[in-house]
Amino acid sequence: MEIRRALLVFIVLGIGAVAVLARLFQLQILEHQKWEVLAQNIQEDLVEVPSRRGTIYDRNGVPLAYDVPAYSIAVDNFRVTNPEMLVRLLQEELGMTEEEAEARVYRQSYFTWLARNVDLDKAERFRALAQAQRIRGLLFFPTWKRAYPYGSLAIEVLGLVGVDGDGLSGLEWQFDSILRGRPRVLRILRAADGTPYDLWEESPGEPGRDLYLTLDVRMQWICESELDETLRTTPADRGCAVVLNPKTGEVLALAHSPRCDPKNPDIALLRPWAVTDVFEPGSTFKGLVALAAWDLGLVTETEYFEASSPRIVAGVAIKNANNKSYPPLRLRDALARSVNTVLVQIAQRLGAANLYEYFHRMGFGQPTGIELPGEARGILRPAEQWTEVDLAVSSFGQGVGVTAIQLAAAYAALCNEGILLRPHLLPAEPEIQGTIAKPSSCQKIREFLGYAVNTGTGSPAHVPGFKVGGKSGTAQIAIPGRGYVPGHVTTAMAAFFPWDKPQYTIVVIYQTSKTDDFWSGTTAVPSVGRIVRAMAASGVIYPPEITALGRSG
Amino acid sequence: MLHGRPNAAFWTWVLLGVLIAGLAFLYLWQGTLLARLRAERAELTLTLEKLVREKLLLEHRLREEYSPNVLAERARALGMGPADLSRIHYMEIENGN
Repeated sequence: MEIRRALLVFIVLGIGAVAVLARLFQLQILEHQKWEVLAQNIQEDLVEVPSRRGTIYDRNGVPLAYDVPAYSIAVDNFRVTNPEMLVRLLQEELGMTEEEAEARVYRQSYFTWLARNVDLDKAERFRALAQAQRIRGLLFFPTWKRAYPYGSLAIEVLGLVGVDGDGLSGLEWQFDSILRGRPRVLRILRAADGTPYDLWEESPGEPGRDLYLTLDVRMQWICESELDETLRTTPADRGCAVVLNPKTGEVLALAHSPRCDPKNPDIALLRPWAVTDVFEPGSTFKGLVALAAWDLGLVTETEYFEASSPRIVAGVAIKNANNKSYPPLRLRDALARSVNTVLVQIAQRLGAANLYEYFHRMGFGQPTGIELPGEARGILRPAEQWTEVDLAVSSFGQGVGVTAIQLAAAYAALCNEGILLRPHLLPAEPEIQGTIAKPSSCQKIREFLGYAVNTGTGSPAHVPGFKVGGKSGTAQIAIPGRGYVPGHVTTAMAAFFPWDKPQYTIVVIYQTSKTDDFWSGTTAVPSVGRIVRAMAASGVIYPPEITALGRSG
Repeated sequence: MLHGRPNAAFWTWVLLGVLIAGLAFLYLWQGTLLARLRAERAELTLTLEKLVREKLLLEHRLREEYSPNVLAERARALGMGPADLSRIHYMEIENGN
């Protein structure tokens, strides 16, 4: 009897054990995949930490653009609690309007972005307040936000980055593949209450690579400040300045004004127009036309040119500024006084083919190759299409279209014994693009242009001890389909110093659409002088001959 | 009911039992300790991440405060003006001394 009862108990327990084993087999073997996924979903978090985008530095290692931590905040609209308070918080903390906040909170969706790339401290505060108000259903994603510690400094060159971390303009766009990295993936195991109890790296990711530029933040700031000041005190609508090292082609400053605020960007101001926009260079071209003529031996230092105004070319009267006539002038004086009618004669001696050849060698009508998107080629029509008048007016920079960077590169070649280098923003070996003239010709024209700044139209750019040389220019702006429009003027100054052994080339351009009473002598030329002075005052440059300013100590 | 002194085999079993219990305790204790340490490490890693991010933000704020525009504004507020060439003397120091 006892044995039978024991057997019964054994059989019952055995059946129970088999049932348990069968269930275990079902759970662990047959449905393993399903339950594993479910458990993972409950316990594990796969967190993708966006990689930090590379930093952009200036030539001295000063960071100009880098990523700072931020949060993107989203809401699960089906799980959200206390939505009225959430709407209020969004208005008070993240600056949304009531309609905007309500539209995001009262939606039928599992996921709605509330705000992207919110500053870290702001997001932390928002999270703390939401927790205090027992608002549930909020999702906080750690992310990065592009920051510009110097505000709008060089922003057209640096460019902007979108909310998803993609480069949208400027160098950020051009070098997006270098700057962006791969995200880091973390797996976090959480307990039932959400506390993490283990964490490991699934993928280490890779931060974006840094970019070092040739820009010098001090020169950039000096140029931008000068442009801002000129825009404030004159009718200029916009201005740009380029500083090059003529021996290497390095772009030390590429400044624009007005600039866009990176926190509230105006797309219209994001273009580095020193590279993308074309203008007629006006009398700044006279220095280059004189170089071509001197290089071919078509003019001498002692030769006098008839300088009365107007001069008739193919039935068209070509005038000097204010239709002023001069007694016969030598080339040096014609450049110093910027006499159109003399340069017309020189262009006629050169002929269209030669002048075109020299302009082409100087890099006009073709992109310089600077590392910025959207570079314009400029306008340089083939010599065969030039009329007599085209040849004449090209001598003072009409009928050709150039960019500020092309003009700067051509003047840098004049300063580099005739060797044209590719202007570049990223450190690189000097890249020779050709030879524009003989070194002796360049030396002579630089001497003439040094004289022009010492005594002539460029004198507002004169800075004692720095031997500034250069050529100014004022030109009306031709608008497609309308020709030269009154009140639209470009003023320019292409300069270098010291003229005998140049170390820097500076080009400053201003444009207005307000008045014809807008001259390089009161805008671009003094700007160059003030830029050189400011560079000296801040210790960026020193006079080539220290004794020129006197000694102390 | 046992009578008399327990024999050696009994003590061997007791010792074996104690050893197994001890090892089991050690195993469980170590497991708990490891789990706790792993949790602590996870917590600390996340805290470190957070601190690194906060540090980056503070560094950025500092850089903003030292940007040329902000410095120029501060200098102007203190009544300073830009230096000009008339106020600058370049000194030639003999032999670098």
